[in-house]
Amino acid sequence: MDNNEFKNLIKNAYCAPKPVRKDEFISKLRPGKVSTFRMLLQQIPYIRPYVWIISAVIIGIAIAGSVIGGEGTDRLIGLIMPITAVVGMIENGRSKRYNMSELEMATRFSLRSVILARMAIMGFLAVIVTAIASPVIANSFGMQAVMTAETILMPYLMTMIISLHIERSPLGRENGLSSVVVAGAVMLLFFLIWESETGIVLYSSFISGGCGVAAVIVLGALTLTEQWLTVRNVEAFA
Amino acid sequence: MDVGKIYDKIYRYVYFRVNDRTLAEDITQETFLRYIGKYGNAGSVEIRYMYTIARNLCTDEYRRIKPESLSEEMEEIPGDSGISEEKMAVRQALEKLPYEDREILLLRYVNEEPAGTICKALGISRFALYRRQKKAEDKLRRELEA
Repeated sequence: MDNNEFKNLIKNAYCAPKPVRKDEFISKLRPGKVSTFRMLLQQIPYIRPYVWIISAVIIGIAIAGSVIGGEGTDRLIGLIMPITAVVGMIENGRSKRYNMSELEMATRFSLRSVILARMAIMGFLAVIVTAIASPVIANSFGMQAVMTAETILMPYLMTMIISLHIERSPLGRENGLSSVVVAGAVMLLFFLIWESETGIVLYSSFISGGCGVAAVIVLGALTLTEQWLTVRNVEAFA
Repeated sequence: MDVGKIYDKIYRYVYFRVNDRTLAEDITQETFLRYIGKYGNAGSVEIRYMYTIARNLCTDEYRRIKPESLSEEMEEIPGDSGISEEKMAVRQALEKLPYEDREILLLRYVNEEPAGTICKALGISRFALYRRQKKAEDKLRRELEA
């Protein structure tokens, strides 16, 4: 007896009587409630691999910079962070780009909750990157972790605020690449500040005087406000 | 995976544990309700969890009712009166296998589950699964040839 014949014999022997209440049960089946945490977990696989790769690359640069001894590592990461913001914006606009907004608004998880979940995941990712990169760099170059975190976060938050604001405007809705332009402008701005002698002196005195913490708090609050406005007006945003 | 297909798989799995159509349907539906209650959605089912739930429910049922009252209906499948001799012989040979072996053959060949799913549902390693599957197949072949 060959393998296929043997398998078919088993298959035929395990012939169960037809279930009589199957269709009735399935038609009445309703999805149960899903907690916010579980919903967030369910959204994680939908975040595309390049997002994780970029985050891993940034952490890798932080560690490599610390090992090699590149003193400008914090600023380099600060310049890369707007890219993660852009990636986040691109992820948020995915439903719109693939014309799925209308469908997602009618599905079990609304477009609003999906965008909120994506923003939460991306924000959490940025926090993780900062939380890992800052102490690693600070420890290697004898800097304060808080100041390093400020340098990393400020360009990221600025990109987020401006991009979210523009994305809600008619200009942003028509132009899908506005966040890329914003990220480029923010990166250029910080590059010019950090590369010019006057700029770096002013910047250093700004963040060492405690103004950096206040600036990050204000920028963080503004980012949350912009995210809230985006989620609240998600139908228009779509 | 289609919910209807999952229903059939779980129902078949339960039926060959309890040998009672009504009870099998009750347990299948209870499995779905418990899964949805815990994981939220039957559309994106992790079937291994459903097998585990169904298995536990069957065990509870065995504890509640005497096993003898559950094991008599296998040959009385409605609409299956014209059962062939060959099929009957295979069923009798399967009856001689330990339940664990029959369970593996059912999951592997009838429900066509991948090895990974079966391992996770039964809580065994891949090596153990292949060893037990091979043993069960050899035993069944011997029974059929006898």
